[in-house]
Amino acid sequence: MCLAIPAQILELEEGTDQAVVSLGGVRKPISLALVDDAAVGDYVLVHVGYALNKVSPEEAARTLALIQSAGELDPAEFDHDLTPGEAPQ
Amino acid sequence: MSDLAGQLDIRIQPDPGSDAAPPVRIASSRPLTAARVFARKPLAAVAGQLPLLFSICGTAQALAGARACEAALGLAPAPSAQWARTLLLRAETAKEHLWRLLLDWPQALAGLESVPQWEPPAAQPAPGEAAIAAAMRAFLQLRALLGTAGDPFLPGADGVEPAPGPVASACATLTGTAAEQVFGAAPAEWLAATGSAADLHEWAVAAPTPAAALVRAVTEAGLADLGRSAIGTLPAVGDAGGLLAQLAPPLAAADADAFIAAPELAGLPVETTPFARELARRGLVAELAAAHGNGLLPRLAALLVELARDAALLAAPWSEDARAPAGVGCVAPQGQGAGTDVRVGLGAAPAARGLLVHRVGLAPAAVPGAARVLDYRILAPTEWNFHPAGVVAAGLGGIAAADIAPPMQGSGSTLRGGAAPARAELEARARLFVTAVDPCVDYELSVC
Repeated sequence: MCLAIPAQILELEEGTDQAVVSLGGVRKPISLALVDDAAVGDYVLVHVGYALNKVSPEEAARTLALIQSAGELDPAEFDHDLTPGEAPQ
Repeated sequence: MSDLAGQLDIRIQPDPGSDAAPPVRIASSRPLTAARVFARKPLAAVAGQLPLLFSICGTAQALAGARACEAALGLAPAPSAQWARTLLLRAETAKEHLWRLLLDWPQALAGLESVPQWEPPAAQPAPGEAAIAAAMRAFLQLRALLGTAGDPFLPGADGVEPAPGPVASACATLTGTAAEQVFGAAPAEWLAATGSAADLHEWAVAAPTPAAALVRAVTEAGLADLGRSAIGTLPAVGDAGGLLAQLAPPLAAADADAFIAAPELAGLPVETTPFARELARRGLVAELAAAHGNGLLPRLAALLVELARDAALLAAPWSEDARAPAGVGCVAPQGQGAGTDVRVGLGAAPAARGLLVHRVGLAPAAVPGAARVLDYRILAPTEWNFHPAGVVAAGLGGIAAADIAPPMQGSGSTLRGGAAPARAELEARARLFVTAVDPCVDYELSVC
């Protein structure tokens, strides 16, 4: 199903729209061309390589918890992502 | 786990040799049973969580869910909530179609050797990105405005009264983006002036937009029939919900998960896409299909026509035409509930990529929002379209067979230059066709 997984921004690439996010514990390059004012630590919804929109840490946590309880994910992969607002490791 | 949303793995074997292996294999790791998370939850909570979990087509998901629940419980939303749902679904589809036309198709065409006249988009910034970003902002703004006084997607939702000015402004951004970037004219004018294949070609030659260049490139490179196959289309969902009644038994069966993973209608795979919807309307797309089947050009035209219609209605959000309710629902036929105290409803919504169907089993309560979800199943368009023997598999099989055909003298065959370029061209054509049918997840494509 077209799940939208919240991902936390880990790094911004200077002078470009590119960023690295943590998607379920996996580092992944994405484009931030479609969102405004995204900063390191923010959560974004990611779809086929693009950040779609920013989401609050609370909404990110709710969505991730929902996905976890759906049994789709290994909870261990999400441990460090589940604390809203926590600085990336 | 590289992508938690799952992905499609598409393998093309142009010359399977003597082992009788199919030339195209499609495997999916999409998490198809995620809707089980809704079991045992109250209806009101599920209505809020649906668009959170499935946010790529969140509006269509919320609408299909609301329709299913309302059918099960005999509820009806307030007319203004119905209007808000339709408006937001239209905005979601317009935003998605803009993405396909301004980002995905240009990138896919840029990979083709056979389209030398096509100028690949510059690396930074991609030309469509700013327009898509504006459309995305407008959509999110509209969603927030329509939900200010309560969620219009709650089953049996109360009326909404959003401020007209901001709603009109957000809608105008979507219409304006379509006019400037796609049609080169007001969408309603384009729709009125583009009723035939000749009109489309005339527009493609004259209009200075990136979308017109797409039509020119597809036509001039001889790609109008690319991916053509004999796979049929899923019928449109009528008011009576006849299709839903047909889908109800396999969605209720013990092996419903297998059906959801590879759905078939009367034993055959069929497609549900914008092309399928437009074919049923018997207009421009049907005329193109008479010449090009379900090939690339009719698919591109279907995106254009749907976008034009949606954008034209977004330009007049309070008009009578814009108020026709979207989606349908029906009560499951008798004998498909798990017991007398279980109400089962089905709902469907035309999502940007095809028909989305929800089936919900509910235990009623004194207050509708407290009704408990017992069972929740979702049948999504990607599973119809990327069925192992479906429209993408058949289309790619045809593309692979065409590309490995021996070159005829003077035919300008794609085999020119030897095996490696032919293989690269095959892969690029395959990617273009997959883009045209449009999975809602990432995919890996390999040519063996």
